[in-house]
Amino acid sequence: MKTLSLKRRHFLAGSAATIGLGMVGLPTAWAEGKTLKIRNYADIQNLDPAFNTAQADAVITDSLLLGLVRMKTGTEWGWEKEAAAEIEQVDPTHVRFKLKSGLKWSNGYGALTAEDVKYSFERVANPKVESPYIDDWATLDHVEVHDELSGTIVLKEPFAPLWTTTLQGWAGKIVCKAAMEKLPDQKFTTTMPAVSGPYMIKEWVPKQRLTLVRNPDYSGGETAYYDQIEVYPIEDEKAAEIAFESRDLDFTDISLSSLKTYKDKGLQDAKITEHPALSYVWFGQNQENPALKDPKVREAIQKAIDVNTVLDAAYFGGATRATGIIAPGLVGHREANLTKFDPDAAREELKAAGAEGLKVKLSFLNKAEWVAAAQVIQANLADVGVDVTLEPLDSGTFWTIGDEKSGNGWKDLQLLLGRFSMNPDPAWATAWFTCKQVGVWDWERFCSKDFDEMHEAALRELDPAKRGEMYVKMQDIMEKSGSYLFLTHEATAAIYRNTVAPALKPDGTAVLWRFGAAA
Amino acid sequence: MWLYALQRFGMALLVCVLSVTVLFCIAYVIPGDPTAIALGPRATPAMREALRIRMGLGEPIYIQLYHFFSSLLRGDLGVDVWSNRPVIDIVKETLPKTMILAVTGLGWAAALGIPLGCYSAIRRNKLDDRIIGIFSIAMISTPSFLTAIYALLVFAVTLNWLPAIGAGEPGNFGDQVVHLILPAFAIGFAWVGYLSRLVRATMLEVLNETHIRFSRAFGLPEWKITLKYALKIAVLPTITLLGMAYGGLLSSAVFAEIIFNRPGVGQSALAAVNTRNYPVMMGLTLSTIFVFTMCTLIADLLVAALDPKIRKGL
Amino acid sequence: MAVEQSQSTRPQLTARIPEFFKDPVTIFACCIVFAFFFLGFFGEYLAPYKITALDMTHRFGAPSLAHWLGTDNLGRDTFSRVLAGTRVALTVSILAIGASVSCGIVLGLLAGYGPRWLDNLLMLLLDSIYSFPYIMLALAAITLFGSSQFIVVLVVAITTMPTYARLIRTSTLSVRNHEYILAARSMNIGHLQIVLRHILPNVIGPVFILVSMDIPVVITVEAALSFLGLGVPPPAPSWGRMLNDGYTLIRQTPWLVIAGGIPLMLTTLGFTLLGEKLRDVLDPKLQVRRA
Repeated sequence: MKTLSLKRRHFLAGSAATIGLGMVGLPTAWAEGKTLKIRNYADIQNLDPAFNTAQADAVITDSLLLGLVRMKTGTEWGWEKEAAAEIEQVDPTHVRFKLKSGLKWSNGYGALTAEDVKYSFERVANPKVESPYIDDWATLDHVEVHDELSGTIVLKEPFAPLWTTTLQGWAGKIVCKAAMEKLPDQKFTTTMPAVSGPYMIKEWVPKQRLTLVRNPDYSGGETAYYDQIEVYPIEDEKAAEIAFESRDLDFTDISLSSLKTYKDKGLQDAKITEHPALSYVWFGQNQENPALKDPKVREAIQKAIDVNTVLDAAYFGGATRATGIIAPGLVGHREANLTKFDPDAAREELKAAGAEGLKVKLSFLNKAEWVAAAQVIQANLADVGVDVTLEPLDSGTFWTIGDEKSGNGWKDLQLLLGRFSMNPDPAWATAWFTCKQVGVWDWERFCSKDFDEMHEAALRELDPAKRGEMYVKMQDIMEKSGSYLFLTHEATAAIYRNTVAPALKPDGTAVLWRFGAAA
Repeated sequence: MWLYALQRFGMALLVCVLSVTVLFCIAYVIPGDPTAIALGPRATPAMREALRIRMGLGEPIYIQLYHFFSSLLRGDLGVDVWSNRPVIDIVKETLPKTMILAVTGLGWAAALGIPLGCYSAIRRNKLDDRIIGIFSIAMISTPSFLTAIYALLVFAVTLNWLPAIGAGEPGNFGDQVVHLILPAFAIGFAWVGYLSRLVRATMLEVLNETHIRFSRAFGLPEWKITLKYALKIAVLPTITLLGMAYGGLLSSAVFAEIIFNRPGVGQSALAAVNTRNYPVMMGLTLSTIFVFTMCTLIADLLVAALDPKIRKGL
Repeated sequence: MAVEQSQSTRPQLTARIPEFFKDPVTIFACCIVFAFFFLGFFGEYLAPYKITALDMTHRFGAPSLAHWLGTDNLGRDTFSRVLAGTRVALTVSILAIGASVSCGIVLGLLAGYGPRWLDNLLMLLLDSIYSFPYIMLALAAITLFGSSQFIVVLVVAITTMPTYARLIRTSTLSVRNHEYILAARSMNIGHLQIVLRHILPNVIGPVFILVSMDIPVVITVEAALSFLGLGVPPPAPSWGRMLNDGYTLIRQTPWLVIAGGIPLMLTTLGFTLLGEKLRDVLDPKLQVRRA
């Protein structure tokens, strides 16, 4: 910040040779440089790991609290020990752990103990606490404390996502029992009562900046490189890109539409990273809507859409086609789609089904990429004689259109563009398409008994190969229903200064405290 | 005069109450369930029901309205649904930033637009008047978000003279001023043109009034007439317009606030609507409506005090 | 004063028509306004390409002989979309201003001519509408009824209406106690007739000027709504949406913004110049000097 304002002062004094100053800017930024300036896509709202509202919260919580294990950075999904010195699955329902000794809470709350672990996990699993992440601990019975540092997690039933998501994720973060019990309701939002991670919050200026500084009491081994991390909440991606280019940021996610421009233009003192993301984007059809009740009609529509062009329009070549809802690299990823783009067949099938001149409505979130994608779909379908009206919706409306409890919108819903983000376990992809979810999050109103049975069985199956087979079959069932056309898993792209060595999870999520300096 | 002021003040308060009631009804009828957005896909229906009850969404609208106004009288605007922060704090953080932005934006626009208008009026239909006219109209027709993005690309990215985002370090006055330049430039841009056209038009009218023509007959130089007599009168409608413009900018500053990532009322209110964070939305909108009515009120009273014709009429 | 004006202006106005067209600037303004109306009706048929024809291989094209203003993010011909977009601009501005002027006139006359309590009530209503942030209104209307051209028209009409109503009310107040109105009333002429025959013609002049200046403002408002995703829904080729797309894609191509901005600027120029000329001609105060 200082270097920048210095430069500005020069400008204001009217004496600046700006080009020269621009060149001096870099080394000074580095020398001062134990400060990292990074963008978060939203401001923090709730740092309590049991109530994180979004990734924007979780990315901060991640540097403040420890879990027994943590997700590895790099390109392969996997975990490594964090607060645990030892951790092992004794049998399908028991996990024994021993904490590292010497881990401390800030604010004089003493050592991090197995009691804290018990408190944290059971808190999320307790229905009365109403944590949205209760399903992460769906089969938790209790945590047994053996002594100050060791204990056993006892499950009622085997739970496959335990290692892939629960323990490494938000629900696996350990909070300070003593500090929490002092709070009204045992909840906090933006002021964390005690931290154990490498950083702590120095200052929060809402909507402007969150400053993290080293936690002096941290003793978890690997230390952080930066003395201070300044997190700027910037919602608009364009604004973030401009902030980066004008050197107000050292690292920021960028939109996929800008990715190509940056690549073409070339960057002088910055680099780009690209990661395949986990989220899944699909084109859905409400199979209970009278216009789309006939599976033949839905299948014809599936065939009429040129997915590659849709993706090209929306992401400018930054995202590749998906083969299902489970991203590559995860158990259960499918090799290929069953349907192919074939407008001629689509036209004939529509004719055979007596659905010529069909008129339908496509609902989507009013963001640039969806607007572009929707217009291509509209053109594709016009090609086979289906007349599509576009209905862009604001996020508030969009996220409730298929919800039965929020009114009658679900009855009029016909076509939609959906996107869910996801954790690195296939169970979190299929969970929203069971019969129980019809009218809750399953807006296509797709319901299959086989699918539901396999979803339940796969949760208990600990052999990855057998699990994988089940998920592949489940995606086949989804696609064969005609209601789904899988579009993409998107991708995460980020841009950063040459001086920075970013630490990212395989899906491109930043792990702030592990950011370092480039060699 | 005082009675008039008091009457107008009462009226302004009524306006606020009416607008807020309308806003409240709107919030009540628009689709979108705040609990679904807040809790995300992981929420069970039971959890959403619990949150809905906590937010008081289940009750009939008149009860909700009653609660809202009665806590408003106690100075309580409720709490942010997701972070539990008092809404009044959010208003205190955002409103001053937007107000300063609006003052500076209109300030430079007036400082440039009014003299341009005067000059145009004096040089009526000459070449320079025509050129100023065309530039003014070009400025009027440029949406503020375009000015903003071009200003950013030129001054922040290419030249790197000015910071691109944020409102500056809290407490560091110089830094805040530097962060104000581009957004203020962007929102004032169109107003330069608007004000210059308005001042030109009113000036032309005034310059034809009898007493001015008398002065001219006495051989006073044109510039002296313009500055000494005409401007005084021509500035009155400008004050009215500025009052309304200032109030209006509180909501139209939203574009500059989004593009420059300035935490202000517009940006925050928009985000609140999109997440159906009703307490924040109500609090922020109420505060802008209040400031708007007060601005127009002050402008009206100022004009009444300055204009002998109106003053007599009261 | 107003009486003399209204009586003296009309004969002069007809006499002034030749002079009105002598001024090259006015002719220029008239041409633009005429072109705006002409393209509003026929622009779509003059477009060299179909406005929804996608061509992904030629997106972000710079202006060329084939595509005079380049192509957009879906490879559609920008020039065709600008031409066809005139229809949207014309309908939105004419409908919105039309609705707001007619409501404004009725409410303004009622407030100015009616009893004091009605005046107060209407002013309260108008001030409330005026103080209400239009973005909030737009958001509410669009989330309630979905986005459509009609909603954009409605939002613009509601938000601009108070200005007209206030203007009419102020003029009506100043006219209502003039001798000829009092005389008319003493002759037992009905209120409706007084308002229509004697007041309206005397107060409507300034409205025309304001209208001509507000038409382009409406188009800018539509652009602003598009920026927030609230404008005329795609794939309709509105100038506002083009400007917004141009903003989003400014790093890919500079031409979209220019293509959306130029027609907007020209329209503003045309209507503003025409409006000012109209005022010059209609406003008797200015005529003295010219003579």
